[in-house]
Order: sequence, then C-alpha cells, then structure tokens
Amino acid sequence: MPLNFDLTTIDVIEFGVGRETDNGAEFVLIPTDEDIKTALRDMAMQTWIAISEHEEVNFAPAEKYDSEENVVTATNGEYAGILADLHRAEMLPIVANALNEPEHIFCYFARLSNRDQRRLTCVRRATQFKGILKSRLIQVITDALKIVEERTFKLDNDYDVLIDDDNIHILRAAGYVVLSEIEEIVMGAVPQNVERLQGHLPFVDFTPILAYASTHSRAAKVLASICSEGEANDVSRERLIATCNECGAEVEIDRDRIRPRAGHELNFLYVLDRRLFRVQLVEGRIERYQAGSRRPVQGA
Amino acid sequence: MSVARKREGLGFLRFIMVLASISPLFVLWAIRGTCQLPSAPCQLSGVPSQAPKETCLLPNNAFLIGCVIFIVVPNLLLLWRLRTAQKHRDTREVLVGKAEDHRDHLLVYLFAMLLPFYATNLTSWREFSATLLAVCFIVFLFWNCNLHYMNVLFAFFGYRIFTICPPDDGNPLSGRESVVLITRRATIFPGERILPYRLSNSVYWEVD
Repeated sequence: MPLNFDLTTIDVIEFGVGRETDNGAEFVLIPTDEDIKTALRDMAMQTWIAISEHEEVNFAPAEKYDSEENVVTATNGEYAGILADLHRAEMLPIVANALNEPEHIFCYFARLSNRDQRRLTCVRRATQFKGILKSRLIQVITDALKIVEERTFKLDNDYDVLIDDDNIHILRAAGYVVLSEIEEIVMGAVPQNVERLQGHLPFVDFTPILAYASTHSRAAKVLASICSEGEANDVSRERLIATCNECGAEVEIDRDRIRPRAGHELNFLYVLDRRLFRVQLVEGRIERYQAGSRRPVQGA
Repeated sequence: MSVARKREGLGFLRFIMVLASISPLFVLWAIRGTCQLPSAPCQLSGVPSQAPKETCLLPNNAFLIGCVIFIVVPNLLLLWRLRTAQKHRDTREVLVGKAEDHRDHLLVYLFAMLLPFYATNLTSWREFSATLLAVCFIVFLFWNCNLHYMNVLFAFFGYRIFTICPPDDGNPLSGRESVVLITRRATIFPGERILPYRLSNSVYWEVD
C-alpha cells in the first residue's frame, strides 16, 4: 500500500508527546527548532524505507509479528483506536514543559502536514524515557567519556507507526498493539464478535466461548481475528467437527449444536482461526502444533 | 498522578509584547515630559517681573531617553521574535471553526491604556508613582489575559486581529482553546487551514 503523503513537500512539522494523566491519555505539542524538525522528517523517511523492505500483511490482533514488518490496517478500521483520533485531531494543545515529567510519557509523535491538506502522523513508543531515568547515559565530551546526570530526551532513528489518511503502516507491531490499546479494543468487542460469529455458525453454541473470551485476552484477540478476516464464512459443520478432532480441540455435540469442551475453548477458536494443524511425517506418529503466526503459502 | 500543567509559556516574551503594545503611551509621555509651567506671579508695582521657570520632576533628557528605550527595545524584541519564528519555521496548523474579527479590542486598548494615561499629570512624585503603579497593573492584566497581541504597529502595517475557534469535530483529542491570528486577510472562512507562525502559544502571525 503506497504512502498517501509526499514526504518531499512538507510545510508543517509538529512534535508532541502522549502522556498519562488523571483523565486518561493526553496528547500535547511541544515547540521545536529547525534541527529537530529536520530530524523528525528524516525519521519518517527512514521508517518508510524500513517498512518498504518487507512484504505487506494485514493486521490481525491474534497474529504474532516479527520485530519489524510491514503491517497495514485501515485508519478508519476497528483497530485504529486512539491513534486514528490523534491523526485526525486538530489544534492539539501546546505544553512546552511536557517533558519535565518523562515518567508519564508513553509515546512521542510527529505530525507532518502539507498545503494540499494531507497529513502524516508518525508515532514512537517511548520506552526510552523510563530507561534513561533508570540508567545513566554516557556521552563523548571532548575526548573523555562523561556521565550525563541531567535528563536527556533521545530521538530514535525511526518510528513504530506511520499514519496517513487511508492506512496505518506499522513497522513494529508490538509497539502498535500497546499504543493503540488493542487489548482493550478486542476485550470490549467480545460480545459483538461472538454475535457476529453466531450469525455465520448457527450450529455452534458460543456460550462457553463468550464466558472464556471475556476474561482471556488471547481468546478475545483470536475471536477478533476470526471476525475481521471473515474466517467463519461458509464453514461446514462436518468439516469443523472433523478438523477439531484431527487437531485435538475437543468438542461436545448436543443434538444439532456443537460446543467446545471445558478447557478447549481457545483450541476451538484456534481451529477457526486456522492456527492449529496436524502433520504426520513419521509413520505411526501424529504431531499437532499451534501456530502463533501464519501466512498463506505462496503459489499454493 | 501529577503531570506538568499547561502553562502559557514564553512569559518574558509576552511581557515584552505587552510593553510593545503600550509604546504609543511612551510616545505621548515623551512629548509631554514631566515639567510644569508655574502659574503667573503677581505683578507688584515697581518690582521687575521675572520670566516663569519650568519645574521638572525628572530631567527632560533622561525622561526622554527612558521613553525612547521603552518604545524601541520592546518593538525590536518583537521583531526579533517574528524573525526567529520564521527562521525556525515555528508554525502551527490552524483549522478554522469560527473566526471573529476583533477590531473592537482596539477600543478596549484605547480606553484602558491611552486615554486615561494621556490625561495624567506627571509633575509630582506622588502622581508619577501612582501612574507607574497603574501602568504596572494594566501591564499585568494584559499579560495575564493574553492581550499581548494589541499593537498599533500591526494595525499600521495593515494587519487585522482575528480570534479563531477550533471546530467541534467530536474528536476527544482536538484542542478546544481559541487562538489569536494576526493576518492581512479581510475575511476568514470556517474550514480554512492556515499555517501561521507562532508568536506565543495563543498568538499567531500569518505572513502574506
């Protein structure tokens, strides 16, 4: 997916931080000089170069991603969360002293705009701040190393996420999941997702899954992935029962409805999300595995 | 949990801008001075009358230099701030929800600042110190109320003052505070995006 922003025609570069307050997350701007603006723009370019080096995949909450990938989700989509609000927010407040208490800062961001009214929001999780406070930085001053006692704000080489008007381009999915509060989103969406699945799979009793997913975030993520990827469409009752049996997800069949046996709710969801599989390469030995990450086989 | 509260910031610069805004008052004071002509003496028969002598609270030259400093220095610093904002591309994207032309603020300025102090007599220490104290109060109020954008020079160079309110877009993160825009535009329409330079956190300046 191309970036819907021209990085060579930037008119405004704003810098800001996200911080935790008593009223929840707050995003504020901090004035910067020309050098920092240039660095922020270079970071955006570097991020896009890094993203472009990977094959693009759609974001799924249940997927386990590598440290750096090219993951995409829609800016208007269900997993955009607070980052979409940040991208669309107008006239964020300016708090020049926001860096005074770095322990409350959870991310920093840059907003790049140009005159054709396009905007690119670049976000980086601020793990550095807390690390800096706990450890001591060393810096080369003259020809000797010196301990730097004062608090130092360090920009990284790239961002975790680039957000344009159409898509969120994710370089580090782990950072995105935290920033976008994916866990809260999918946990909150469990009842709706169960209802959606029930519509596609009327022969499944989702009562135990609803109870299980409401208290287990992993199950909630898998449930959300099944819904968003449309993996429950056209599933055959017989094939589902057969696959559950093959992969070791135990189910009970009560008249015309099937339900996962207690303790097998997550495995049942894994089957629907195509994350449980069985191989037999050795005669007489059946192996069953669970896939944290899976991609369609190219050319198959 | 305590976090750094939102501060207006650039306090000294705003103070300087308030001083720049009252520079016409120093012009008037520089012209009037602190001298007073004595009342005409009684003419006694046979006694030659002497020319009346001015009594000055402060030496004329010193007072004049003081006034010139208060006229020139704040306006030079304001000019320096404008140039610095341009040099650092210290801009902010302003989306117009509602724009109000606030020329009436000049009337506030006129009545609060120029007219009362113009009429003040600076010929006694008591009046002089009372006037200075009153000016300090006014400067503090202008500084505290963010009225530092009032400047005759802006009007002289054809700039207008608009208050821009952000649109109510339903986004919980969007800013709610209005800003002041100094611009040569005659009208500003809702939905327009403007890229002005930041003079302070509440006052912005649009270059043509």
